[in-house]
Amino acid sequence: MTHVSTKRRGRLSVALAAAVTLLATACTGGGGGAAKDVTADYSAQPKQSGSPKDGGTATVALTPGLSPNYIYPYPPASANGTVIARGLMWRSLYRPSGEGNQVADAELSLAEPPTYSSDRKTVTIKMKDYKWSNGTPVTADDVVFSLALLRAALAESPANWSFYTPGQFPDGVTAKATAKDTLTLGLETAYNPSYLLSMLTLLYVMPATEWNIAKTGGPHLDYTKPKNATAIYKYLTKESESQSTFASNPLWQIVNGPYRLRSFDPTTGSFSLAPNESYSGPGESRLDQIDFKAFTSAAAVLNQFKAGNLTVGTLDSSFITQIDALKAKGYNVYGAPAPARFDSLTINFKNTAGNFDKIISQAYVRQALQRLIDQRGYIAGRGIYNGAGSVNYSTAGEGSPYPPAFGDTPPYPYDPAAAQKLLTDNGWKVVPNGATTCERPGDGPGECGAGISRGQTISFTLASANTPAYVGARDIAFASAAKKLGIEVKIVTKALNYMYANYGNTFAPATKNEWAMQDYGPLYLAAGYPSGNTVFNTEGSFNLGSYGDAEADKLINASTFGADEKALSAEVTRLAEDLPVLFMPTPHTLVVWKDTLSGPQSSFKALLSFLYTPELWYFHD
Amino acid sequence: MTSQRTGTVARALRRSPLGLAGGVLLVLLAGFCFLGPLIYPTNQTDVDLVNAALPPGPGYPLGTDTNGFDVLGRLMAGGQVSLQIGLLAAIFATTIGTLYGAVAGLAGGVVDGFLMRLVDVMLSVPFLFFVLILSARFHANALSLSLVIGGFSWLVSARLVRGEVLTLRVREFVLAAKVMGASRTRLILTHLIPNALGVIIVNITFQVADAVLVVAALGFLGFGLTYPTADWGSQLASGVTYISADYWWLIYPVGGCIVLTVLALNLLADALRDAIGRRAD
Repeated sequence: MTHVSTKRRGRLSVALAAAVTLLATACTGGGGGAAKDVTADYSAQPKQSGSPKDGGTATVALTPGLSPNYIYPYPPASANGTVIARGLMWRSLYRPSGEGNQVADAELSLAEPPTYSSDRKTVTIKMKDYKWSNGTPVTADDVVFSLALLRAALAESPANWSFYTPGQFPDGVTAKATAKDTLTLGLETAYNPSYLLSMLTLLYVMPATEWNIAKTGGPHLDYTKPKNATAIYKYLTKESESQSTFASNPLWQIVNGPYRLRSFDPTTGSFSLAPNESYSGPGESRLDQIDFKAFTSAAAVLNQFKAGNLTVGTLDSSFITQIDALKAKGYNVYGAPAPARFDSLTINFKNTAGNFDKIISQAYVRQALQRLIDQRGYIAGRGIYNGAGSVNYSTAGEGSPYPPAFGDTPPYPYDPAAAQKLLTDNGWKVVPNGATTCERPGDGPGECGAGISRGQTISFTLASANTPAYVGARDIAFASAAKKLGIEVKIVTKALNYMYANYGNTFAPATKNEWAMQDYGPLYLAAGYPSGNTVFNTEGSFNLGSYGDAEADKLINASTFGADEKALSAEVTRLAEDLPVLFMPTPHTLVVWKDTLSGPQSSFKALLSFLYTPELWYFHD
Repeated sequence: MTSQRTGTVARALRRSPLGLAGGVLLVLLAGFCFLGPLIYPTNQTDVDLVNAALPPGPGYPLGTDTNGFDVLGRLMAGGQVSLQIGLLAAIFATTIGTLYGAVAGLAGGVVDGFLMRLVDVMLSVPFLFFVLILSARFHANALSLSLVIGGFSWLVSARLVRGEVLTLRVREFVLAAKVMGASRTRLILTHLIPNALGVIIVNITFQVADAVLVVAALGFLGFGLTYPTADWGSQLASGVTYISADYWWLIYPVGGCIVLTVLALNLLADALRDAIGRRAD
């Protein structure tokens, strides 16, 4: 009985303490109030200011739910790797731009803009005068090495690079260092220059001289031989599995970016960077240290901001009401939709549970579901976007230089009545708040469609990320609207890391029946050239839901290989009309930083795309 | 036997004002959850974005949540699920634990040692850790959640019942039954368990309280039940997300319900334990 008695006392203490706490804090609430136009609070970006001071540590909040666990720039798909400080230690050949109207940031890139032969099949790239942290120059050979290792990764598995489509870059690309500072790419097929440039922004340049080994202290290998490249790749990925040696392994200390790793905490994924003294690119790297902190929830990030413990970070629109409080605490807040970002419900066309694959392959079903998404309502809703969002019906995102042809008149705007009509016109008996069933099976006009039998219901699982909060809220709103049309949407909440690791038919086909749709938040295409290649073409490595459409493939092909810049708009239009995903409005991202920190405006705007350039930042009085 | 036990419960409540208060509070909470919707019906399935996150006011005594659901109505709906899971998990845990403990206690020797070491091993497994792993892979519903919680909660019941059986098995009436040729099954079901019922009833009350807290904890961690099902833990988690927006009505009412329910169950169990302890003395 002693056991029960002790336990009882403990329980009572906890219950009473909680009750007292509740009563004590019950008067602190402020109340709601009416929704207002909030965009004016954050749409103006503060200008660069103050006299720069040397030193100081900036603490940066990482995206909640995404803790880094890998250091080698090309983690194998099996590692479910989130790379530490991507782009800060090893720069890509061309630095992605944080602006929405250009692909690469010319100033921060390792090379001059590429020049093309008249048939666009020979590309010449002149390297800039960058140095590795050991003082040796970054050469064209390093780029050849990096390309060889990328190929080795893809030889192991096409899923090892989510930007890969078999037969496309880097397939059919020969790389040759015609001089120490000159790289010549030979292309079997000419690419659209903007598309190729977007691929080269993903080519992280690694040190050929120090990393061309297959074992610690082993001989330097000729990486142009595929066998050797594979051995090197296996060695480097194996070394990258040892998280406890990330900061101590000499391999990872040879960097060409502005920072090197000072420490890494395998438990949380938090890490610290120190300036690379040999960095020869723009920026004075005035800060002594950059601490990146991992978080599991956006609310925790906000709490740390309020406590004054963070210097820089991003918040989602859930916290729009906190702008005044953050400003009062000495923070700058700037918000906007990120370039080339779109939010959507990714559809799994291979999910056979409840005959979902047959049902969702019908375009009218997708159109009906899209018409259930009240984008303007979600934006205005105080529990979802709270006014901080933009309507979006395309993969190019808001303000893209490649807008869809329909402009501001989306093909399937919110219209539940039209959604119902689409179903009834195609052989379904709609039972609001009940179970809508197929009444006219068959694949003729006015019939439900091939593979759908009489009595078939529409019921499917929607995997919803547990953070940020607006994801769950908008998914519930969608499920509720579907319920009114007799469609059952079963929401299951999952951790973001779990979804990234397990919900994608290209790398996790075994779980295809666990999710019919998934909402992991945003997807970012290449700013400046938001091609859907690899995401929506049939063979794309990041085609999570196995979408396939011959017309879309044709248009994606045209935007990838053709010289016509308008081809991408045609692709964007087709995707918006065929609905490989269901489009959600784009929430505005809030960039928050201490008002004692400054730097070029572009370096803070780039945070909308999670591009960090702390080497340009400085503290001031 | 039953009337005698009922009388014991009634006496226990009369002698313990706190126990009586717990009992009354529990009845009120159950009435609020199960009868409340008859008096105050609300729509808990259709999202209402226009009326989302409204503070308490006319038409919405406790405001609305971020999906526009009436908070008072959602408390009732969530309470039904939380109490049902709590009760089901407790019944499941107590049934398994009682049989397991009775078998171990009656058998004694090596069998008892083996069975109880097994319990010790299982007690060393961190429950929340295990459930979070399960929830990453599987989708929870009210029944599966009850079974998982119950499947982990029977260990304490087993220990308690086993201890009680160890004292009962050497009593004259058990020995007499053995001499008369009663089988082990009969001994357990007819003689041992009925005489350990006091301990079992007290324990089941605690088990309900524990299960309500576990459901709340899982919901709070984001692995509870999802739309259209509501439970108090998920409501609390959703409210905490918006604590910085000062949506206090999403936190305090549901937090209060959880606290009051656990408090009521503990006060009741406390009174019953005292009464049974006195009777044993």
